[in-house]
Amino acid sequence: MSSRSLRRRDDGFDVFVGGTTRDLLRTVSLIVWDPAVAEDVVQESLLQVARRWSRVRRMDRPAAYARRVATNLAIAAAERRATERAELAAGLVFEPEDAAARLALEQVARQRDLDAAIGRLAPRQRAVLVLRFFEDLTEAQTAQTLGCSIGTVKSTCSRALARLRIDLRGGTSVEPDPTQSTH
Amino acid sequence: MTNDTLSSDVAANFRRRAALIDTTTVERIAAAVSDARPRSRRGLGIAGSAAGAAGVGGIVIAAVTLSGSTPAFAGWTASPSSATTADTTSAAAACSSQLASLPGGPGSVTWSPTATDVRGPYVLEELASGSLSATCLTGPTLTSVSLGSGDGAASSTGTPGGGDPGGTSSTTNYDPGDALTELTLTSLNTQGGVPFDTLEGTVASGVTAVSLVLSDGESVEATVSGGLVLAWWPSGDKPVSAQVSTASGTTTQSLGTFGPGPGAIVHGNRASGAPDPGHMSTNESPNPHPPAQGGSSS
Repeated sequence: MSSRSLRRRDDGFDVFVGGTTRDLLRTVSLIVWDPAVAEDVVQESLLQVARRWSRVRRMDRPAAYARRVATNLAIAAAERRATERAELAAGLVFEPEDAAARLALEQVARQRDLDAAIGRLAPRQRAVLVLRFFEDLTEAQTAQTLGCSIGTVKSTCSRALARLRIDLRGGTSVEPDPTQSTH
Repeated sequence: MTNDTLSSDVAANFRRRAALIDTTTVERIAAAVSDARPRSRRGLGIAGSAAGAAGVGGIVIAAVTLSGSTPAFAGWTASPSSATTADTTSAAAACSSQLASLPGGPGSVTWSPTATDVRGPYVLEELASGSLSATCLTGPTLTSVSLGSGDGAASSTGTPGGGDPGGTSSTTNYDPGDALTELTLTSLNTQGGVPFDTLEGTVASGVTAVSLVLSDGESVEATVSGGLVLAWWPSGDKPVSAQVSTASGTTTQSLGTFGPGPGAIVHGNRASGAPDPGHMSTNESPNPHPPAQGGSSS
């Protein structure tokens, strides 16, 4: 192996991948709501970072750049699969016939309903919730990641929570708000 | 349910889902990315069967020299001139038009020039759109674009009806502390079989000028702007070293060997067998002085 080839392998990218893949996969999984798609999106995101690694590695926060790439790819992937996912979520509704079982499963059912309701959010709404409540990013950091204004983050978050509340109260499938599917 | 309660429940839901991600999946992705990491940034090619005939590794230089005007690249200069707003805008329009027509490309997205190199009537431009990047050479007789995309491995696509695209692209990373930190050399042929090379890369802070020394001893002054270095020349000769100027003086940096072998990792597009991640098209006009518009890449 040539010395230059060795140099190529020692530029820190593999270490970066090792340290960021898990976090990226968590975030992307929560946005796309589909583990298989999430895997593809993370891989694509890291390869996009690889293409610009010589510049990215000199950034103050390379991981933030990778998260920005991954988040936006995840939203795009989720939007492409929104209809399919809504159909899948509808198919997962589980109604136990036994009353005792219903009581015992009430807690699980609440979680299931919330899970399904989150899955029915528009991808961009879900991305805002993930960045705010899972990543614990500030509104400003969330805006920077998504490439939008802080006001948009606030309104998107508010609408997402309102939508969840309505969905959980009514127990009906709500189609994603089309106005939230793009910037 | 209050907002606080609901947001707490949402956060708990996210944590539960995230906890389901297993280490095996993470390791599988990391390994796949490391294996698939691009060794070359872009796929390049030329429209038309004549270019295909010239092909990868078939670069033969005869009539084209750096010192004189050639029919293919008349007006090329070894030193760049200052890019005017008109140069940048006109080239960006031509390049954007051709990029929009790339099969499988991103369509009509907004491209912004990040660096511009002007030599006579030709403009070489680096463009960016979000996480995408592209390189475009446009002039009186051609508009050539290459587009980097997701997986970034080296490959190329010909244009519809065109022959094998031909062309190679190789990226070399240099030692930390070197003035030139990364260079990507792409070697192409025009549809008429005239070779030309483009070089782009990054420089360390403080670098003010770069003069490339080619294998035939000729020099090409590069454009240095915003941490980027950009140049092209119509001969097929490869750069072997660079005279790098900073505030403290001028030093010489060896560039190693571009091409197969230890100097750089190269994908010959035809032989790489890599998936098709990039897109490239070159539009050459039979009219020697058409408007600078990209048009169809077929």
